[in-house]
Amino acid sequence: MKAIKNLIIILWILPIITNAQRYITKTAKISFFSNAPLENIKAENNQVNAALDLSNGDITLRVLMKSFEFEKEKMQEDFNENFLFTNKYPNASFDGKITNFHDININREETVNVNVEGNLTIKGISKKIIAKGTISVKNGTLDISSKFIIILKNFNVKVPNTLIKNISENIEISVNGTLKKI
Amino acid sequence: MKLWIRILLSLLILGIISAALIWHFIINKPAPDYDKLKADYTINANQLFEEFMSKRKNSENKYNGKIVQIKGKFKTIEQNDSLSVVVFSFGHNLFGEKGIRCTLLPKYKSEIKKHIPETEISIKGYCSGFNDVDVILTKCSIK
Repeated sequence: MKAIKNLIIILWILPIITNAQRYITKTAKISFFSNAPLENIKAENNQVNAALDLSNGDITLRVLMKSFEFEKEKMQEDFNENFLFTNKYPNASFDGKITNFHDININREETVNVNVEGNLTIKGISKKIIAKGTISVKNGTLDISSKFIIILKNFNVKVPNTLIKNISENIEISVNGTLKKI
Repeated sequence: MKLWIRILLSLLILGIISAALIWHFIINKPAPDYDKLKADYTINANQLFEEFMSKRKNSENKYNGKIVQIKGKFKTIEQNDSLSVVVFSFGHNLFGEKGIRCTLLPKYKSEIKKHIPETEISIKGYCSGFNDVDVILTKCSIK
């Protein structure tokens, strides 16, 4: 188990050792929004680790599921105990690539539209995600922003019939963060 | 009024009151005031980090989702418009400090400025877990 843990850390950190084009943050924000007939549900997590390698476009996100904050206690309880089972699956992740990373010029302050492809892993289930986003270069930092939709049943999240009007099957995910060079 | 109508009306009223109470006290209950919650565990900051490093699964089962109060010398405070994060450092890697990161409740944004890095502080928060680099506490208060 320890060997697997070390391997995961090494795989995440190793590319940084070999290249100085890495940008990271430990305070990226991920929020999700459910728009259903009876209520809207929003939650935010602002302790997300994010890393972007501008030399090859690799982007990774590491998310602690229990860090999502809700307006109401029952929502948080349902999220952790009935839908995402965050004791069993404490982490979620995204490992992907910005396909048009060559368009980003760190020496030019501008906002670039980017295309992102990769695998999103929630509840131990990985699904391919294709999303659009923007990257703004400001004072040598990168502001990343993206929005995409996930379908709950793709990640084996089952909404009971009694809550079908409270929770949307399609959840809007927003990702924002300011990454600094390391 | 006939007896069965009275019983029916009473049950109806009782049902409406029960539904209203469940809505108000359970479904619509706001998130708790984490500042006032009692700590499930009180532990030195370095000891908490060591536990997660040496026995990750056991520590996740023990601390994740619990209120944990830690004490120790903090390394730095990271602040931006919306966040104040107190960082306890127990080493360094290419991601910067590795240790415990505590996101303060907004009401402590000013108070934390009175604390000097490398001095002892006691912080209580909700343990979200370990993300391969840091142990994360959220909704933290200064004690």
